[in-house]
Amino acid sequence: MTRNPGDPNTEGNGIRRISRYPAGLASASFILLLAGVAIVGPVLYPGDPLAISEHTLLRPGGAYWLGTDDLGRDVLAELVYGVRVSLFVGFVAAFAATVAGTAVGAIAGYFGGWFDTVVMRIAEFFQVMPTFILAVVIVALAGPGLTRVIAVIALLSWPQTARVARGEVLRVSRLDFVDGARCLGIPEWRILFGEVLPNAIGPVIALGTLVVGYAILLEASLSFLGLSSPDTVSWGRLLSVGQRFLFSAWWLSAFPGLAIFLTVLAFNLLGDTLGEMLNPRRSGN
Amino acid sequence: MPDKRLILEVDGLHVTYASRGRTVHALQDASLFVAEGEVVGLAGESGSGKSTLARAVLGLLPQGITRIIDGRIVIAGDDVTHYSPRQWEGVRGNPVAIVFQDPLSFLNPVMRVGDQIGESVRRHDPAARTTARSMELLELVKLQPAVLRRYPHELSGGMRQRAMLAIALGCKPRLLIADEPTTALDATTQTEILALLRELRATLDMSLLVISHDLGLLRWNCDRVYVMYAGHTLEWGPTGDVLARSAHPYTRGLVDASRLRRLPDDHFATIGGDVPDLHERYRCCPFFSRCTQVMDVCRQQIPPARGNRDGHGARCWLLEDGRE
Repeated sequence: MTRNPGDPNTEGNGIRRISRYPAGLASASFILLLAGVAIVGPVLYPGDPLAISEHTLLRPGGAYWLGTDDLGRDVLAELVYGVRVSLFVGFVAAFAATVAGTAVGAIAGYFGGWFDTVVMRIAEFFQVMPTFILAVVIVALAGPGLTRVIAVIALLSWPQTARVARGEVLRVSRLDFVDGARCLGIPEWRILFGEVLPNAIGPVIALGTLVVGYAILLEASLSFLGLSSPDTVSWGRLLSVGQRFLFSAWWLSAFPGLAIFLTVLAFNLLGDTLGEMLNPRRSGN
Repeated sequence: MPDKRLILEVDGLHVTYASRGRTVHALQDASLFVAEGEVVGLAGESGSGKSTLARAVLGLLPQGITRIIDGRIVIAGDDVTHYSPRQWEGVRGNPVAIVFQDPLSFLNPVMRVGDQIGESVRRHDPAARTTARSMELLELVKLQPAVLRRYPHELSGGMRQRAMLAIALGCKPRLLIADEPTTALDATTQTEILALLRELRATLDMSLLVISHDLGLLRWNCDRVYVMYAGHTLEWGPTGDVLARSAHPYTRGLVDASRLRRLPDDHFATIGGDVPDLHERYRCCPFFSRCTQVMDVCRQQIPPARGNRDGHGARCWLLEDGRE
């Protein structure tokens, strides 16, 4: 790879590079904003999301910016608390899926053999299964709960990561510098994790970002179906409550829906941008 | 002849690749040795099997599609011909290290040069202080200490080749193979790298096997040379003898071509005929179809190796025993 001046893929540091992708920059800013809300939101907007009041089904505006629900709960406070749940589920599930998928896919791609065959057949099994129905069945059987939901989402997401990681490791392990490292007598395991993986991780990270969005959506969908514990304030749960008042109190479903939509969109756009920025075929390393 | 200890000995090596359902006999009858402290050249055109030989000596032949049919490789007294991948890890780097033609593709693009040197130091000299030893190696190949913090793409071609050398030397090899070490470099950088190699050979106690298609390069740097053609070592001996008094018609053609000798008709000297077909194993002299002095026997039988007391020898029916 030579440095091409002006090429957005090789010039400048991360922030300057992402600034050449407006959609990516906007998404990253929005996600940072969400993260900020998740951390300090309840301090800035100190409403109790579970507090019931006599002000039921108030329209947006006035004391309650986004209105209240049928039990008089503050929709904005609920949304602010919901950020935590969504981001927590999204990040933890995506992290688990990425770590597991990368490890499995990298080993399968690098060493091949029976491990590769077995793992890839399992991955294909998960890919042909209708994942959402599988998730519903598992959560319905195991019972609701945040950890279970996270585990199910990770279980359903790792095969995709494994396939990408495997493909990248296959590509990188054919490059000359891997032989170069071999010529130094470095053991194969160290070559895989020390030399090959750092060169293969870009597309995996990009995919990991997409998985965050997917996980948030899946969690919201499960909550919408009532497959989450009732004491957890989650956007999907707000949506399912709001659905009953769709024609009388639109704000109950519109705002959580908008929040889910924007968040998932942001993670998808960021994932696409990262995929483009980290694409080895475009940046040439 | 070998009264010194041999660091490398390759004896009648025959290696095949499976390629699109056909078998390619990349090496058919390759033999060479390198004694301790010696600088040996390996010459030949593209496809002659030079690089396959280098890879074989490091156990880097592509797995699954390559087979060693015959012959053996002995490194520092150990027969490594059929080593397992695990066993090869004990050979690579020390006693045998290699620098390649294209340093950029053989350096890890996402690791700083210093980390790559440090990796080889830690692997082969765990007692050494990595940073101090890395600095020492950089000094040896005449690079600034600042290079340690650079990535490969930030270096020039010559600097990358020096960095590769530093990494290889970090293994403290007893034999360093240089596979076309200067082919990818411009002329002035070539000279610098060659001077460096010559100097290192004097400073460090190691043998050097230089692989090149450039006879001029080998002429000034090697004690002995081997000439390869179609997977065979056709001629070998002290560099001056082989190049000045070539015994094999192929070597003579190669020398003429490399001198860019102008023929009376104002063309450059070339070797006529087609490049050899490696899909078959030769049962006769591999060069017969292009040889200007071809005889009937050349088409029928493999010429035996013949040589004189100085270790200058060739496989050619034109030679008689004891004569060049």
